[in-house]
Amino acid sequence: MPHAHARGACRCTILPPALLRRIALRGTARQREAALATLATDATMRITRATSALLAVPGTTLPSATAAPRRTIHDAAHATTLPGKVVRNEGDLPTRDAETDEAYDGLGATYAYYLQVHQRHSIDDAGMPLEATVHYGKQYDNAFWNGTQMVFGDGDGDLFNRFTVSLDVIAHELTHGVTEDEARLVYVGQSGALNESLSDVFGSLVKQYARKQTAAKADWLIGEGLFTAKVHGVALRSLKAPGTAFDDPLLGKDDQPATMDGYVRTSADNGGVHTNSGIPNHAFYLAATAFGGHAWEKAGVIWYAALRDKALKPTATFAAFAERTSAQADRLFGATAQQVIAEAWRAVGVTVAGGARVARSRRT
Amino acid sequence: MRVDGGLAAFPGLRKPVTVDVATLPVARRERLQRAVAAADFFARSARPARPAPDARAYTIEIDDGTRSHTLALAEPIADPALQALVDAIRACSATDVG
Ligand SMILES: [Zn+2]
Repeated sequence: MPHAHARGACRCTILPPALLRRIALRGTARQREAALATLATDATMRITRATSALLAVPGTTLPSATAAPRRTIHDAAHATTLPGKVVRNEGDLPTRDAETDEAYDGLGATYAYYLQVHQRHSIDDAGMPLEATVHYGKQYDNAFWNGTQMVFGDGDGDLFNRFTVSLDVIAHELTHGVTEDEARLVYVGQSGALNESLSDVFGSLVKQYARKQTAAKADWLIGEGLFTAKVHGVALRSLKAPGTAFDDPLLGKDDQPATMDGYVRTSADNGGVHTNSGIPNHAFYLAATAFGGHAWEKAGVIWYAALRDKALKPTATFAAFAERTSAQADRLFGATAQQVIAEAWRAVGVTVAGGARVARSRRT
Repeated sequence: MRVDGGLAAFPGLRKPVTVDVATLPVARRERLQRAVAAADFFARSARPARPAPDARAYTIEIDDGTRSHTLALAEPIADPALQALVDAIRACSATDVG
């Protein structure tokens, strides 16, 4: 993480030091006032310390609300009308309905990852409430992001279990919201496959962070546990080995390519967005394992910076995104890191133009 | 009916679901015919929606012998009558699969 602990008290705050530092440098007086007022209402020692740390820095401010998730889980009761009836609000006790509680916990873990690792306060970085609907449709075997909320089906029980069972799938859906708020990658062709890949990358990182796993120890699977025992397969996708997640008589064989040689041209699935995402997925895996340690510390920080790089266009190609990761690697970690990134992309058949630089980042 | 998209690409599920009404058991045939009528299928116009990430899209083509009509739907399908039609078609094809 590219931040330092400014003072001892920061180690105990719920707000990571880098967030406090950013807050100290940006924002309006009104935001600061509102934030301090909110902080002051919380009597815990941790918040008190955060408040003192904040007060100690002139011009300090907070994004807009307290840095805590605001989750609401709805139940569609097997209909397809959204959002459905509220069944669990922020702070409510577990309902003992597995889908509801898994969605609640999964959104919490995803929120915590974005806040603690990337200092991002929810989907829009301004405390947007996290809305999810469970028990969507009848035996519905899918999950999606509809532009404002997450939706999870129960699965048919025959091939698919409930779609809240995998933390990375929950984080995948929430990340679609983040991407929509940042790069707005158009959901078709290469930009669509990048959109998909970012959801897989951060989906996997959320799971790795929750499990405190190193890149070497992580399974790099998306949707493990989603298949019933009937299906020949371990997950929906593998970032480590695209194309190997399932091979089933009914579902067919995972046809994700790992490199540009296998790039699939198709009109299905918005131009193969869930297929060709294997290429940038594998580039991320190669970069993360080349760096070693925890994948979110370097590769994740670089990918996140690229996602927020204002030079990244909504219609970005793999090559354009690769160039942003290379430029951000150089800016954040220096030339050696940039070489690691360039090599990871080269290995999947994407050439990074040499010496890419960040002209001026959106926010540092 | 063609089903497109979803959280993952499953090559095995890509082929269109085709239902021959004449060969259906009575209960399924009647459910399907009721769903087509309730959804006012032949009067619906297709308006392509902006794809929502991981949501499925359905292309339903029905030929009743005298007329043929195609309708494109994208999830979430808010109209219960249209959702019931999708469910009815899926139910008809369930025995054909596997
Ligand atoms: Zn997705």
